[in-house]
Amino acid sequence: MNVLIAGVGLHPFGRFPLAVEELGRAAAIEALADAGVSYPDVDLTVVANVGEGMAKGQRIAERLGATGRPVLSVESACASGAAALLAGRDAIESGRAGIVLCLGVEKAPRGFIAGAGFEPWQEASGVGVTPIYFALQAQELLAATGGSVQDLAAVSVKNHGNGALNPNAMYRSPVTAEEVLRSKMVCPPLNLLMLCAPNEGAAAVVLMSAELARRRGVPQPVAVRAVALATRSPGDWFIPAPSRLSEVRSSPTLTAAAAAYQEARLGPGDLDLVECQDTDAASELIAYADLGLCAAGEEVKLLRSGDTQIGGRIPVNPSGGLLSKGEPLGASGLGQVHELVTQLRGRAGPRQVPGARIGLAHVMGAGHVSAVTILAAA
Amino acid sequence: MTAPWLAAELVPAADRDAAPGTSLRLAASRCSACDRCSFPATGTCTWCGATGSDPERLSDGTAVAATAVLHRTPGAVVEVPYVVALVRFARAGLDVLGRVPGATDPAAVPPGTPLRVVAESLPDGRLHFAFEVGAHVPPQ
Repeated sequence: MNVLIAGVGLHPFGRFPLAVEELGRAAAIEALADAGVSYPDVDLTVVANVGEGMAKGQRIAERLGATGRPVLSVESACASGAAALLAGRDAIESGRAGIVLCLGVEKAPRGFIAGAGFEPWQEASGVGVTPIYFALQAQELLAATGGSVQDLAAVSVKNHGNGALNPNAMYRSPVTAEEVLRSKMVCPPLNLLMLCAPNEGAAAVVLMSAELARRRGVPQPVAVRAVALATRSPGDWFIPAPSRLSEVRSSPTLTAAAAAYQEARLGPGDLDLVECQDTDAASELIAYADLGLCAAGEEVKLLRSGDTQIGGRIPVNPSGGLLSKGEPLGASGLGQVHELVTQLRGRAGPRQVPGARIGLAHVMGAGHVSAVTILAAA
Repeated sequence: MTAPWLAAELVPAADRDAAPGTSLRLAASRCSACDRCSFPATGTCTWCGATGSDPERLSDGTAVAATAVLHRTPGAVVEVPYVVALVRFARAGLDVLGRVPGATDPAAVPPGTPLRVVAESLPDGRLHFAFEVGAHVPPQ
């Protein structure tokens, strides 16, 4: 493996009276310091963001210094952070860069996410609403697994419990199943506390060639074993498609996971922890099977076994997930990488997964974009 | 002279004089190369990228899953709450998302419920397709 993570940084996720540039700068400075790198040493900066306008990457990176080096903006909805990691990894693998700063940052407005690629007629007629897709997926999952809304609530309880141990999460209070089920109904069967909130935050990762990391004596580097990105195949259905094929059933996450496991020469059984796209409680359960943590149809069984809790066989979302951190779209993927690196370095404090050596991060978003990243303690 | 359609291309030209509440067909397309259908109709197949297709019409389906939207959403002209169903059209092999204006609770549209495509008058006066419990009634 030729590409290592030399440092990570994060601005907490939540709501802040700060400009997007300031959020990004805070995370980037922390990551650069963690890696022992000054910004003029960075060959390429890749900025992941969804909501800002033209030349956003350049505008955000300029706060770190006008070095004259290339800045690349990437937007792939909720998978933007992983797309940045992919671009940065490939720049180093190709020999074009020795050090890359990947910076994800977002100031998302409150409420339902607008502009998720819907046609004007979908929005006007009331079907261009993202939680509809999550709710219908949840209905189908419950029907296929024999699960109930209690199981959806249990995902929320688990992740909010983990988030209570994460100082960077937006929601830091544990919740009970009763509180989840009593929270405002959004799209049945999904209540408010089963859905993540779009919010603000930033996360940064300094990538370095293995040779450079060795020369610079980077302490506790983490190896990038795989980054794989996938889009729609026949049979996939996600935001913003108004229809799907009835008979084929697949997922861009299946495609991305297969590619990532092959690239890393690892399988689901090798993982010590997973951070996955829990946009809603059912999405986490769907990811269990799509990532190979269990067979299709066994998602609820895996949850009920307790194996996805911290201390279980394969903890999922020990950070608290998006359900407790919130989702700053451009930052969420690199936020997962921040959590994996923290865990693989053994620095996650009360939410530490014991003996964590290999971790997987999964993001999925509008446009049928899914990405799977596999990291390992180097 | 009928009211303007929100998205006329979703409805075959022959059906665009349908009155609100009456049966309607949706304009899908069937790829000449891979035989799979797309909705909305497209000249370039959604699935295999080939060009060349034949018209395919969607009229009678069955519910796969249903939910409701309870809170106002950006850009929508319809009033909340409303029920939304994913409806399976067996011959085309397609599931299509749409509103069920006559239902007030998704539980009233359990999987397997027969649904037909109808014309609906939206609050802004434009016509759009919607789903209604029952079988297709061909125009006279």
